[in-house]
Amino acid sequence: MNLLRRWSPWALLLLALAGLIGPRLTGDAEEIVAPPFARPLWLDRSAPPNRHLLLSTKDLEASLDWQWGPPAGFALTGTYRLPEGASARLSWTGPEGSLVLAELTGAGGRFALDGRDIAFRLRLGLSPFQSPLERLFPEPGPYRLRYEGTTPPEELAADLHLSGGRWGLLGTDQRGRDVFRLFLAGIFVSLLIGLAATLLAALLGTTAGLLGGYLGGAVDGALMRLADLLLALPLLPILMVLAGLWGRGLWQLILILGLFSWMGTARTVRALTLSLREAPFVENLRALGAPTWYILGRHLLPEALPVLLATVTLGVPGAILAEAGLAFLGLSDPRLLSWGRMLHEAHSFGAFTAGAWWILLPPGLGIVTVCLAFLDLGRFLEEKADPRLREETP
Amino acid sequence: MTEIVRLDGVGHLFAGRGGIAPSRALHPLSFSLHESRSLALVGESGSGKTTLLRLILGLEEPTEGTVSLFGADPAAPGEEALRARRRCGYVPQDPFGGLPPTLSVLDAAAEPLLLPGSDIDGALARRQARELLRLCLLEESLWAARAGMSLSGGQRQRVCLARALVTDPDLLLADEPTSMQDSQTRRRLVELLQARSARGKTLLFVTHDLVLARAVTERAVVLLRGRIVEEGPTEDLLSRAIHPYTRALAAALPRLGQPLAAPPPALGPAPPGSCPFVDRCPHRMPACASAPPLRSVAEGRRAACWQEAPQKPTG
Amino acid sequence: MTYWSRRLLGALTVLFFVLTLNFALFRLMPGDPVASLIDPRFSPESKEALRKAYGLDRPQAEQFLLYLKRTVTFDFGLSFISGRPVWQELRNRLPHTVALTGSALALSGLIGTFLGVTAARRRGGLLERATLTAGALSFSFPSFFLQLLLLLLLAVFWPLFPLRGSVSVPAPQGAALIADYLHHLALPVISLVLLSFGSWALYVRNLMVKILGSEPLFLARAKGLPESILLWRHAFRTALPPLLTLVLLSLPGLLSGAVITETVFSLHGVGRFLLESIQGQDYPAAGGAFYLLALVTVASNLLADAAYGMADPRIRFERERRR
Repeated sequence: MNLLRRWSPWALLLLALAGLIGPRLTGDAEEIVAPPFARPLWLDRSAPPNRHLLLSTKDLEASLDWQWGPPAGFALTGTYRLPEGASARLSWTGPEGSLVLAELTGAGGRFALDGRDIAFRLRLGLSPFQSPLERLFPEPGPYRLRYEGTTPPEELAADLHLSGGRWGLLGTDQRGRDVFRLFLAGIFVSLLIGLAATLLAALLGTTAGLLGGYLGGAVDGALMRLADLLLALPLLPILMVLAGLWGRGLWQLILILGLFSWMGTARTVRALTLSLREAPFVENLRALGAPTWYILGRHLLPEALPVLLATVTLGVPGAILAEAGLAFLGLSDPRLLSWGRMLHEAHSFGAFTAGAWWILLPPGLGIVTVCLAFLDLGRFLEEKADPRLREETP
Repeated sequence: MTEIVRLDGVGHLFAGRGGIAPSRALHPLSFSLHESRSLALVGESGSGKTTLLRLILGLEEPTEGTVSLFGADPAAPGEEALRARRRCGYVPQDPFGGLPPTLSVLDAAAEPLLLPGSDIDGALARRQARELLRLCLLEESLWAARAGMSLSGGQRQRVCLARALVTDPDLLLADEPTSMQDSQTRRRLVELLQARSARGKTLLFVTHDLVLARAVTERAVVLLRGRIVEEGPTEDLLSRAIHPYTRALAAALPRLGQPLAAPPPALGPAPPGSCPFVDRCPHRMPACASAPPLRSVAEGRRAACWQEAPQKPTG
Repeated sequence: MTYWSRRLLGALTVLFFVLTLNFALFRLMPGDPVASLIDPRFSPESKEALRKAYGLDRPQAEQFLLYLKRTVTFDFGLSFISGRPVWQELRNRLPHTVALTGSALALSGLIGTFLGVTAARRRGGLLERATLTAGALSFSFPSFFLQLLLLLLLAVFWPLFPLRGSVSVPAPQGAALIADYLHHLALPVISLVLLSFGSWALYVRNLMVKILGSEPLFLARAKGLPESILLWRHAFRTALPPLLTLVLLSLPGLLSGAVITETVFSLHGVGRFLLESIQGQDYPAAGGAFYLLALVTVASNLLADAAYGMADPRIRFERERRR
């Protein structure tokens, strides 16, 4: 098969698989995993990574070797229970000495400290506007988180999260979500909308083309005038108004895109149907009493199918670009994680001032890749349907 | 004997469109075809043969007169006309448009038996189709090929014939069904048609070739520019034609060892209302400015010529 | 004559359809139709007064006629957001959109035509291959992605151009204002040119290849005319009518592009006005902006037909026959 020697089916297959399996493996894309605009892990080795230090009833001490400047975030959360009358504290020991992070009093409870808390800053003897991170990490070296108390705790669970300025394969966005996970989630939406809207358009266009071409007369006139009309209107503003008024959900978007892109298919199918309508075998079948649906379904549709397949494939990039455009303009459901939406958020929420190109490139390149792949595939199918094209294309 | 096809004063005018004048395909004419008989429609291209076939099949409605097929009006909607049309098999002139391009040869041949509403079992239909494909001399290696591709014109024509015969129609309307065949194959197909006639089936055969018409039909109608110029037993038309046009047709057939007779010079288009042959006729006379009526000239023979029977019919 | 009246009738039909769509869309929304036409913050008395003034108490058919009359005279009502007449807002922004799309169209047309003609002359060369690639790429490159990249590169990492806006804040005075405006306009125009010169060049190249291979040109070459006269005086003149049509036909796409471009670069213009109106549920403003964009599209379609019909009478006949 010649098809398998092309790059596009493989690229699409790979992307589709990544879109289907990826989100299951990597976890919830909406989860906030790191500070905003964290750089990709591989990009900047001088920035610290994410680290967790865990204490439990059994392990009352945890340590790490810190080789970097201060991390981007410092958050300690947990629960504890102490024996009657006991008192304890959590301490932080570094090369320059020891600090008390939290006093544990009473029988038990929870604690939550964050470098951004003013109370925490004040307890460390800092002003409310001073970051505590330099105080906590004055220099590279060994650091230790420790439970110190008169008696061991009955129960203890503590999690110290040191967020670095680096995260994952592609860093994080303005809310601290994993860009790689968002990218994977976006594959599904882009492909689904692109394919579903194009299929809907193909269905509408085929029906209109077959009916118009075969029945002719007033039906044909009305359908083709409608197609002319829709082709003469500016597409994006219409889509914007409809998305703004009708709603922005996944299915509304598919419906809107489908309703406004069937015209090309209708024209192609109509031309083909017209050429077959007068064929002697069709006349003969009609004379023998074959119903219209039979002639359309058994003869005209199979004949139109190869051309149709190419038209549909070549139509997918248009739908994907239109969806991305609408999402980029902020006219899609904010809960719908698509590539266009990612670019919208990157543009609207300060990715530029942060110079966070890693949010920008993956969705953009994703769109370009998918569009080029569908174009390549479509050209291939077109040549199959009409071998004459091969010589004409330069 | 039952009358299968009857035309009464049937004429046809193709409507003009977009400034193009309407064109007359057929002047009002009448003839009939009885059961188990065979009739040839003979004439040059543009004489109205194909239009006549289409009118009989109900593919076109005549602008004048009435067509009756098995006693029904074939172009009328409804069960009666449909039943009449289903008793016909049709081999269209153009074998390229005559076959559905997406079906295999076998499926295309079996299709008329398997239309919606048919109660014929698919396996039975295909058995019948195989039989006919074999009779129409199509090698088995071609049966799986798509009818729209990789078949020569002659092969397609034979598939069209098989497709028309698969329902074992009472009336076969064949529009130049052997025009693309080599002489060997043509002879076998003629035998196939002769065998069919021997079984009492009716045939309406369109051709421009009088010799071929003689091989498969008893009677023939000669058409010229939408008018019947002569009608009679095919044998007589070939050997003792009355109308100068029929004679020219018979003479134009190449015979071994005999040079082709030079065609009479054309004198420009025949003016409307004149005899259709006036521009080429060697026996032209002033009366030919108006079209002669079709008159009975002998037992079972009619001709449309002002000249008094140029050749005495015998018997 | 029938050709022109037919084209005009077609354009009017499209316009009527747009008007009907506009009328229906903004009134068929869930909830009170009045809410889509009158600012919900108004007092009940002024709402009632406006309801009378807009004729919303009349039957739908009468409302439609009234709406037609008002739209044709560019009376779109008051914007909810600014409280000013929508037409005033639009008129204020239209020159900016025209400046953006006009200069982008002119530049990409010039560059594309030059490259296309050159590529057609030196077939198989590096330039031709580059032109073909650029043309293919421009079909699958989302405009906003390229623009965002340009912005990141040329306004953030290497700040040659301003990041946003049509003028600096505070705006400079006098001649400096014009320079400042052009400085802000430069990157958007560059991005639009980058996006469209490829398809232009591709189109011109295909056209010229066809013309250069045609019989009259072959004869002219046989007569020994110099190649440059051949190219620019003969071949290019033949190519001009279709090119003119392409200019007019590419206007709607450019306007769609303007919506996105103005959003990316935060420019003052009709496109961003439409977006902001839709997002702010400012229905009179959205309706007005949409109508204006549709009007420009219909007008350019009509002009394209006119240009083609004028340049090549055969087309008139051809199209007549195809109907």
